[in-house]
Amino acid sequence: MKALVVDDDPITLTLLRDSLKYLGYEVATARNGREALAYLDKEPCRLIISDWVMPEMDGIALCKAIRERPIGGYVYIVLLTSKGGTTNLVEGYAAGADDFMSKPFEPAELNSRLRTARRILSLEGRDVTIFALARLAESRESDTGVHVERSRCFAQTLARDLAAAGKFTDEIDGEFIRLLYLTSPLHDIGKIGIPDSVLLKTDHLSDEEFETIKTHTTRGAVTLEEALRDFPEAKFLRMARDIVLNHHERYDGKGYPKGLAGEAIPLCARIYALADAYDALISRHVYRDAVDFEGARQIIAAERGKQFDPQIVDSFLRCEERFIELCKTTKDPSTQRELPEEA
Amino acid sequence: MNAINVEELLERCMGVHSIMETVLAEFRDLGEEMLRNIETRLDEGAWRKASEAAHSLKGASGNISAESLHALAAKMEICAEKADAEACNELRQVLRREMELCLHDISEILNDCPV
Ligand SMILES: [Fe+2]
Repeated sequence: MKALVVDDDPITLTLLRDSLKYLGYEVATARNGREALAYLDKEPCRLIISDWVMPEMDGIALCKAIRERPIGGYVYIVLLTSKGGTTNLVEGYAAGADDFMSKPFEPAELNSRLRTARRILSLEGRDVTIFALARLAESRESDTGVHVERSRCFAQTLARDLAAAGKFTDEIDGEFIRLLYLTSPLHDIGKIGIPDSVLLKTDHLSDEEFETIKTHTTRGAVTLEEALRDFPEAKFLRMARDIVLNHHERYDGKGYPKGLAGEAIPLCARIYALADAYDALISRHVYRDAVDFEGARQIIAAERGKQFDPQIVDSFLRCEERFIELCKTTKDPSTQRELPEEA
Repeated sequence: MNAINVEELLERCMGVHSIMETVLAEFRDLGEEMLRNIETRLDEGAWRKASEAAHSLKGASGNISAESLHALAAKMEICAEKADAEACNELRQVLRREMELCLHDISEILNDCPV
């Protein structure tokens, strides 16, 4: 497996390079964020260990730049922090860092951080498969697959903004943001069980048909619930289940399937609900034209405290520009994703 | 060998002598320049730059387990940030002496096990 080490201090660079080589990694080095990005433009790399404070471009700016690049495979970023320093880990998570390591580092700590990184990157192999399945489920309704990709980016953007704004700090950390990104494509997996005659119907649905559509939440959740019984510790499955089951719940309690209200709806589902709704608004559907960005914003804002959590609507209003940017740049993922290399 | 905690350094290098030697040789070649960089910035009264230079030395000396040097560089980083001329002036003498001890130790370690 390849690792990119980024540090302006040559000693750290040498030490990490040689240690990682000794541990069997292929190692590239860069002296600041800008050099690192230039390297990534040419060579794919899944694991980055970067210093926080650097000239030209620091670790935070590097994280943000990597996360804003068009979606390829997941890049796992470990930021180095000075021991006893007053580094703000929340700032790191919000920028998109996955983990932190203090320096001067202890080999045991380095080893355990690397183990975690490899485990998460290898899980991504599974994620790519799941993502493909999720797209397959969606492909019955749309032929682009762009919805799945774009709405997960919206959700991730919201979660990062909430972290940066210091909201939901007891729930949102780097892992939460990563899991949200990984699991949200599964939201409509239960639609696999809905017959074409209902799912693809273009004119008005009868009450009975609408009730059938609604069951995609519980159908999907049942499958994941079974898997969860076998792997109760799998946070990935837990969040997937929460999103699948609850992404049509409304903050005011008028949603489905259970009519949960407010904080009783899991946070991941409250975030994803807005991402999903926004994408539906700006997508061209068979039954109506896409509304423009201005119209979409007004609709979302009007649902503050009704369909959506007010804090999440506020977050959306803060990062709407990023949403619009994503709309313009998100390409069909089938042409861009690649399988991660094995460690 | 008081200036450098060799045991800790070797552990950080996964117990591999050649890694330790490479890192020490690198510090031997760069340490003096890093220190001079701090001194130049202090002379110029460029406090921020001096603090950044001290930050770099702090990182480098921490990595080679030069514990006293690391602690002094950390102090210098803070004093320069605060533009505390008096404290910086006192520190630079001590810092230079500690650097000399370190470089002396490094050359002895490297001589014992030539790269
Ligand atoms: Fe849905």
